[in-house]
Amino acid sequence: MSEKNIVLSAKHLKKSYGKGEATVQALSDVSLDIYEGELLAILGSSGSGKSTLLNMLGGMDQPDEGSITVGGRELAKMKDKELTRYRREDVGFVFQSFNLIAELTAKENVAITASVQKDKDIVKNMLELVGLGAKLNNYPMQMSGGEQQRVSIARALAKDPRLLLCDEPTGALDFETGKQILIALEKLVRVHGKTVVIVTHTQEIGRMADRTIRMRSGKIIEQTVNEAPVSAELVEW
Amino acid sequence: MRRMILPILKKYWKLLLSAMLVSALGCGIMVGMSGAYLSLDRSLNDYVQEDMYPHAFITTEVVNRERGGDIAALPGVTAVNTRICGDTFMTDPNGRYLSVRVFSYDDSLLQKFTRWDESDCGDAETVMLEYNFAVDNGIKAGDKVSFRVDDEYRDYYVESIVTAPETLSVQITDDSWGINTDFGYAYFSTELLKKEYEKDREKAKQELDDHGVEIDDAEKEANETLDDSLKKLEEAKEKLDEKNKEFQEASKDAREQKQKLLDTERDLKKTRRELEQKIKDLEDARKKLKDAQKQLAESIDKLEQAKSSLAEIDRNLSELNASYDQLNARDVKQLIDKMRSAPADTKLNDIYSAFAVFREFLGVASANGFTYDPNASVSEISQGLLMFVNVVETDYAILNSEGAGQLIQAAAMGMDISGQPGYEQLVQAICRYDDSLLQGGDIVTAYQNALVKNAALHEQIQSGGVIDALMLMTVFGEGATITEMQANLAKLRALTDTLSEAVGRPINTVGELVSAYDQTTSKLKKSIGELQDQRDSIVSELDKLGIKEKDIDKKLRELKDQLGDAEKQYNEIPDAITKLRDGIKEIEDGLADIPGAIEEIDRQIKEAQEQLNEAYQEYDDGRRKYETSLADAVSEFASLREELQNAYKELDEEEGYDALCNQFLLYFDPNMDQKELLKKCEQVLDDVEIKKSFVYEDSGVKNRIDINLEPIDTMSSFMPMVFFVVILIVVFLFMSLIIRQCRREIGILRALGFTKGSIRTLFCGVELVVSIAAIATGIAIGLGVMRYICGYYQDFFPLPRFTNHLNYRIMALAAVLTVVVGQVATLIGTTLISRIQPSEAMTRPAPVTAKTPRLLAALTKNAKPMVKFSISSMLRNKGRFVFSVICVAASVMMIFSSLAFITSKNRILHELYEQRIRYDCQVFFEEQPDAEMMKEMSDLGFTSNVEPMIYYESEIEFAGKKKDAVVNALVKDTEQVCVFDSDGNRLEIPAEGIMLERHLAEDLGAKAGDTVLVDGKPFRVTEISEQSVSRFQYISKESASGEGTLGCVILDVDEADEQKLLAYLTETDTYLYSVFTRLAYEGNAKVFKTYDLAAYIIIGFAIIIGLTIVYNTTQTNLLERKKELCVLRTLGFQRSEISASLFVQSLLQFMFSCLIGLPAGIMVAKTALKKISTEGREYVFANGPKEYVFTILLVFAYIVISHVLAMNSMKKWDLVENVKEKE
Repeated sequence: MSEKNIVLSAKHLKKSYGKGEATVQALSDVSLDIYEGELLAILGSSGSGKSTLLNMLGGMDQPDEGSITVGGRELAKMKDKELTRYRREDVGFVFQSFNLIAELTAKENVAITASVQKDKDIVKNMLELVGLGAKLNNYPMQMSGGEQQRVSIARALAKDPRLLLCDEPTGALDFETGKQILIALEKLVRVHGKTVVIVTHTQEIGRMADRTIRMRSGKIIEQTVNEAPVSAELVEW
Repeated sequence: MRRMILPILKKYWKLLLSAMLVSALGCGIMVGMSGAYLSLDRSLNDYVQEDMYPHAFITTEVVNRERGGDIAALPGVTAVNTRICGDTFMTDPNGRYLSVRVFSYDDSLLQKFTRWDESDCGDAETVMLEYNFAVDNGIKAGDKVSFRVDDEYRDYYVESIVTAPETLSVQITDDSWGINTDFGYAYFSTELLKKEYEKDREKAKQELDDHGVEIDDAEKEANETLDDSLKKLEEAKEKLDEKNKEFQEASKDAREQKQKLLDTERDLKKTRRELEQKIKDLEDARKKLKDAQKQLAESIDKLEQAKSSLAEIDRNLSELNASYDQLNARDVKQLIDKMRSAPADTKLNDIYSAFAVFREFLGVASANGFTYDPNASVSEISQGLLMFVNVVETDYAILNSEGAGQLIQAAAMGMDISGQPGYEQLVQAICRYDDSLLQGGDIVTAYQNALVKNAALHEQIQSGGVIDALMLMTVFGEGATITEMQANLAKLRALTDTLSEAVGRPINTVGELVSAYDQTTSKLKKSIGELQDQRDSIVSELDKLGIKEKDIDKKLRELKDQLGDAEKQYNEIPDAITKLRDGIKEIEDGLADIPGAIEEIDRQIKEAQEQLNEAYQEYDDGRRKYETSLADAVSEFASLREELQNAYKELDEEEGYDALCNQFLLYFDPNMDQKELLKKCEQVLDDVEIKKSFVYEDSGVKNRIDINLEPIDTMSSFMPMVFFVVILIVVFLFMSLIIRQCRREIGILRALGFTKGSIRTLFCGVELVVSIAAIATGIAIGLGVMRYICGYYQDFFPLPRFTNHLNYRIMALAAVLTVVVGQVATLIGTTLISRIQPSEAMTRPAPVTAKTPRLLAALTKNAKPMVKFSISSMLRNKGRFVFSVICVAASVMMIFSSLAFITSKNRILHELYEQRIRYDCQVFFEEQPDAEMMKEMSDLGFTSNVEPMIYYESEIEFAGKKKDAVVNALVKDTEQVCVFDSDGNRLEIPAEGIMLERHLAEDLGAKAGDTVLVDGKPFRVTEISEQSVSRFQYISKESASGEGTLGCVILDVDEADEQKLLAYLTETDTYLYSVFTRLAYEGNAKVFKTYDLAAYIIIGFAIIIGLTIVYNTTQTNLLERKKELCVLRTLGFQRSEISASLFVQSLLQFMFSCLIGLPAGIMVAKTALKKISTEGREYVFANGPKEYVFTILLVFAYIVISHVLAMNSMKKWDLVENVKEKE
């Protein structure tokens, strides 16, 4: 694993919310590296701090202490505009609730972020990659949850990010649809060499990852390297 | 339920606060502006109580006051006040000259006065001044002023500053558009006037006594003066007679002297004629000499030319003869003759070559035994050589024959071959080449040698063209030895070159040579002949002139000598002429002096005669004058004594001052026809001259106040009312919008079991809170606005007391309407939403995707996703968009229509003071000043462009319609007044005819070309002019007749010289008052500022409302799309990109608002301007591109500001939380 390039490095991250007695420690001294081309699963129950960690990695939130370094640049030192550019160019987000723009078609939802790419066919290619080549002009309302999530993945991929951050990507989906999404994500890593971080409370999903991080009460309690990750097809929850 | 009010207020506090503020602004502007106007109106009424003004006035010549009693006896006349009035001038404490109308007052009139400022002046003589006049000129009670009385200024102390009947007429003067604060009203008590009158009477009596004494003294003095003058006259007569005698003698001497001068003149003239003849002769001689010179020069030229020609001909002849001789030389001729005999086509080069071959072969042949005679001709040698060739060729046949070979072979074998056939021939042949055989040599060897030599010759003959050359030489070499032939060929080459050059072409053949020779010789011969002819001709010409060729040079010398002589003589003549002319000049000088001398003599005689005559005439005049003066003096003194007696009598007979009056102030029964009553009053006074009479209603005073208060009233009531109505619409829409925002809450309440009625009550309660707050805030704002405007009015109207009055009716109306509109909007809104099922009401409305209009969908099909996103955001709530557009449009309307007031009144000022009136001052007189006075005014030193302007208040009639109008007569080419037509073209003052003002022309139905009657006199209408205010008709002074209502002069004067002008004018008898354009402009501009204030307040409020609405709309849109916008931020969109995409909505809003608001603004402005326009003043809609641009930019600016402010709130959004938020 150490032979691989580090995409992102987080050191001693701390984050708390509230004041006085009502203070909640969301993250306590969390450090981790994310390697190029790996599928990393961050597991934990609700309130374990995994989503907070993901938001920090994605430049949507700032730690109280500690640092996150991407490509030699520290996120905390970036100005708002630079952080926005980081989100725009380096990171792709997949949300639990898809967050598509209802008034735009699948193609337009993807195109809205694809402007950073010079490849004019990127939108179509990305939607074909996630198996939605036939539904380019469908509005979100006209698609199933799984399809919407796949549009969301295509949107994230359209800008060719260094890092794909997925927050409970199967959370709002039924089992079958969720599995399809996992298969699509696995394909991105195994076939296309993308770096994907999945945050989920579903322990089983950890089986398909190259590496698993378990969190509890804002701390990493376990890190496991999967020598033989199973296929997404075989993951059941 | 009541507990729910607070949470709703808390949740929607921003929207509700905005609605409340908008509503409050509406109330505020209504309350404030109406209150301010009411305060002004009340304060004005307080100041100028209308009951102090009589119902009618009659101004007459001075009559007995008792005539007032006659009028008062008429039924319907309730009271009559009488007084004395007259115009004079005064100076204020600063010494400024002011025109003033002076009135007497008694106790009954004093009751009508209100004193605003008083001073105890003790026993001093006092005056009361009209309030407005005093304030405008800074005069206070207690000040000392001077009034002009009988050519002197008397000092008085200002006892009180009062409002009196005249106050109304100066309160807001604008009728003439020349606010004249220099024209005022002063009141003297009848007692004071009576006292002064008595004093003046005593003074007058004393003056009469003094005058009597003066007359006696003057008579005595006059008699003495007359006697003295008679004595002087007689003395002068004696001296004159003596002078006459002297004159007669002197004139005799002068006449003799004159005769002498005439004789001298005759002699000089004769001498001059002789000299002139001599000059003429000399000039003729000189002319002849000039001709002779010319002839001589011509002869010399001809001779020189002949001489030169002959020399040239001789030279050419010599050259030609040489050439000819050369060609006719014997040897050349022989050569040519030889050529003639040769074939013409033989090439010359062949001949040269043949001769060379000949010579070469001759050498070879000679070496092989050929012999020839060197003196033989080449032809003969060639023949020999031909024979030699023959022999060689024969030998060649023999030597190379088979027989010869066999013989030689046999001989070689030792056989004897002699006797063998062919032996002899062979031996002969061999011997010709090798004679060794003849000497006993071996035949074989000899044969071999002979064979070789023969073969060599044979070969040369065969290959070198020898035979042809020899043949040619037999022809050309005839008669010439080899040497001669060589020389001939050289000559031939030279000749060929010469001829080739002569004929200008190359010569190659014999034929060409011969032809060229013949041609050249013939040509030469011809040229020689021609030259010879020329020569003979010249010689013959000379012969004719008697000159032999040999004598040419001699003749030339002779001619040149003659020419020299002629030139010398010619040059000597001018000197002679000059000398003669000098002589003539001297004579002429002498002659020129003679007439002057004669004239001088005549003049002196005449002058002396005239002086004498004049002196006699003077004496006669003096004598007559003496006699007349004597008679006049007798008569004048008699007349003066009579006048004095009359004056005594008049003074004795004069009634007391208190018995006099010239003005009647009439008070009528208000229920009766005032004009009829006035007529009856006039009938009572039919024996006296009535100068002016009018009833109050017709005085224009009331009209003047209305003219000025109407726009203020409109700006204070109409515009706020329009504004308020707009605000009510906005509030209605705003409340409806807020209720729609509460859809979810209403759904929840319904789900919890609340009835529709209770929900309506709840929201009406909320609205009531808002309305009450709005009314309270509105009243507070209104009070502020009112105070501000009242403060402004106080500055403008110098009222002694200004009281603030809230307009409670308007206030109540505003409050009621605010509550009603808010409640109605709430009721309708809640009723409509309560009808929706609670479950549906609790959810968000369905996304707009399925509802996108087809046209819009088609238009935005290829648009960028962000643009489509922005448009869909706008469509998500069309109602809000429309509401926002309406509100901003209302704001546009208010701004634009308010600007229309400002531009309209600015246009009036511009039209009057910058376009029409170009003069600095207008001076009014009782009658039109005459030419002498005009000149005097022009020559004052500080005035310029002084022009007359006659002011007529006339009646104009056309087609049976009659209208009163003011006609101004101006100098035709005046630059002091510029009138324009409706297209802005400047119009000329018509030389004949009249220029009518458009409104009057329309009222009469008259057009250009029609003829109207001006006070009964026909005038053709030349042009129709455009005038918003002070509508005058113009005629030229030349076409004007009559004195006019007022005399008037217009002129230019610097501000620094205005007082000098007034000082001058007050010294003139007929001067009334002056209007300075500068002051008039400032006064009117000040009036207009009140309109600006109202307009600015409305504009300010319109901006606040627009800003609030746009801010709210934008922010509501943002909040609605909070999640999507946060997702976009998460996806890496900068705030500026999102802001730019959403600004599309604001831009569309702005465009639609302008499209609606500007036409609405035009409509409102035109309506309001029409409303405030009066018969005498038209407010024209004058908004131009500047106002459009200003309105658009202003609205755009606040839209941008609102957008930026709203967008600023995005900074505080929590991306993580908002992205997670569920639908």
